[in-house]
Amino acid sequence: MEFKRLIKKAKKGDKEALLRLIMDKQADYYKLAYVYMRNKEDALDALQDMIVVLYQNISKLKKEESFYSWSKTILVNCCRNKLRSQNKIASLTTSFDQAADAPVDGLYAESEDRIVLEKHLLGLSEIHQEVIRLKYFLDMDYQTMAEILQIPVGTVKSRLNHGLKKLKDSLGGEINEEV
Amino acid sequence: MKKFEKHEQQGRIKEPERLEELEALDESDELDEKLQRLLEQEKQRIADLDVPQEMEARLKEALAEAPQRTSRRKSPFSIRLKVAAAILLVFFFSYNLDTFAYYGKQLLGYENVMNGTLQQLNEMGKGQIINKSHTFQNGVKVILDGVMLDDNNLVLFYTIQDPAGHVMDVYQDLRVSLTGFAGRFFTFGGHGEANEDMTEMKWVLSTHETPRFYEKTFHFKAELRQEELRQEPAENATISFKLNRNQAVGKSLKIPISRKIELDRRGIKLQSLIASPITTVLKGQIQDTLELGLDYITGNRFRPEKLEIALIADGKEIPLQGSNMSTDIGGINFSMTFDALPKDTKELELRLISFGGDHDVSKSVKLAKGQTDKFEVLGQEIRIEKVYESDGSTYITFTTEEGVVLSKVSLNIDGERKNLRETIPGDLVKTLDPDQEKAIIYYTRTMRFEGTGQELELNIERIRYTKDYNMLIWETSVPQS
Repeated sequence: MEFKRLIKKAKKGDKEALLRLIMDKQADYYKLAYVYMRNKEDALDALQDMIVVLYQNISKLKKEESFYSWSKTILVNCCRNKLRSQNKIASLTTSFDQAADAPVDGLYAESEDRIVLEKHLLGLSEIHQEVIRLKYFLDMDYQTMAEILQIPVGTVKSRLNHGLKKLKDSLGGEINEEV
Repeated sequence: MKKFEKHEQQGRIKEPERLEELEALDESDELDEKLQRLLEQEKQRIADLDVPQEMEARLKEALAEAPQRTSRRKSPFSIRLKVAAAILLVFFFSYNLDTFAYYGKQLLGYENVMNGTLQQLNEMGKGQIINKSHTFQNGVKVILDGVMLDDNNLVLFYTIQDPAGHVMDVYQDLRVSLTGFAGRFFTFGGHGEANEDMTEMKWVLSTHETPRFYEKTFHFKAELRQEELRQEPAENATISFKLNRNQAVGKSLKIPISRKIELDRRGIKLQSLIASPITTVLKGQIQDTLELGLDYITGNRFRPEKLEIALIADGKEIPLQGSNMSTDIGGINFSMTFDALPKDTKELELRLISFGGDHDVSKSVKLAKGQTDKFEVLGQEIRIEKVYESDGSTYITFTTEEGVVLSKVSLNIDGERKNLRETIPGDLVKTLDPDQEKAIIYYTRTMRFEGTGQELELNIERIRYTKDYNMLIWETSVPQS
């Protein structure tokens, strides 16, 4: 089979084979990166990070059939790392524009709702955000989410419940806690 | 340069208290619907997303630069070595539980990360020394050096040490958080700087909210997640400390301001200025609930996005540290944090520099291929430079002042609504305004809509712009103690 042949070659260090494996499912990878990074440039950056890690570690991959979930876990980790470093460096200098997405004509249009949703999603913790993004934006099933996030299915469900509840509370209006 | 900045928002949503939870339940049906609609829309958008053409090239480029794989040695000897190393690391692992020292000491090594005020306070020996640390298994050490507290925020000083000299990588793997009473999560902003040999990084973080009077014990948590590889679980450390309020840096001056400024289409309400020894915080509101509600009904919603206010003390501008905007049941609130006021400040002024946001509008303009046009939306000039077809798409090249964005726009082609597919960036041209002798930058770009036809009508549903004001909005004399 084509897939097996490509994996074998990729494991031996064939860059072209590895690239084919990813490009065969390019939409899956791109969209996964996109729901985390929320813009094209950062999504492509995360994908670049991913392919380097894949290349350097694919020889250690034991179960060849789990290539896709393995590589997606790595992609998710690349995205998380990127987001974290963005947060830290930018914490005091993030401009308001960035939160509401860069000002580009209509590209973020239909964007009113999107800005609202993103604003509230960003208020959630990382673990709650990601399950919501994967489940609702990518329509991923629990099993796949569990494999990619490396957590039990039960945890996926409970995070999703918590996350949704928090998102609902948040949309319902933040409560001013000033004393 | 003042920019309306937003702090990191992590964890800002808190568990609602009982009473509010009950109230929230009544609205939950409507909310469910709204949430479902929002999620559904986003799902659709992601489903429609095109994979960028350059993806393959970008991946190739990354692979081309990827260093050769390090081949693993498979001798049993190396395995034994690893085991020995692991055991050694266990011995090095330490959790330092010093009892905390009292203040009167300076925090060393933070000169570059502290702003002027903190520096002075530090030199005076203000603040509370904590000096507790945790060493992770890989040798990375996190030290909470000290804290400072006043009426505006809690400031944390911590150090990350990496004997291996990769501290710039390490800090990215390290996630820190602060919790107070009953797990209350603090949000914060801050910055850090590494030393030259990359073995140490000093960080200063300030919380966005002050601890409550009954909050004494805090937990500073650090989570280290190594490698992108999933095999490595995160390693956690918690450094707990008791806040000693006697060591708070000093009293604050609270100046109530009750001033509403009417602008263009909106009002800004200034509420208070709290001058503490660490920071000066201006609080205000952009709309109240009633206004928000009305706008929603009339379809004239306005989302403020940029607000620049300068604080001037005895003629000198006080540097802005950061700012924060949030929408809650009371309206849109903002707070801006400036450096502390100089000692013996006599006169204070607030100047509005600029204010802008996203406005709902509904403007339709008929366009024709090969023709130019010029019109205004909310006083903002839009010049249509070129309308043309190519490869089954319709392109519209237009110019506005830089900073004006058509945030929601569509094109009716022979009566069929087409959403914008992309905006192709163009040129920035600087010209001089003849009256004001001020440079204006114009930005020309091209929008692409799928499909072609004879009847073209551009619908602008939202426009985002910022207006410069530079006017005095409030002044006062500071009561001298």
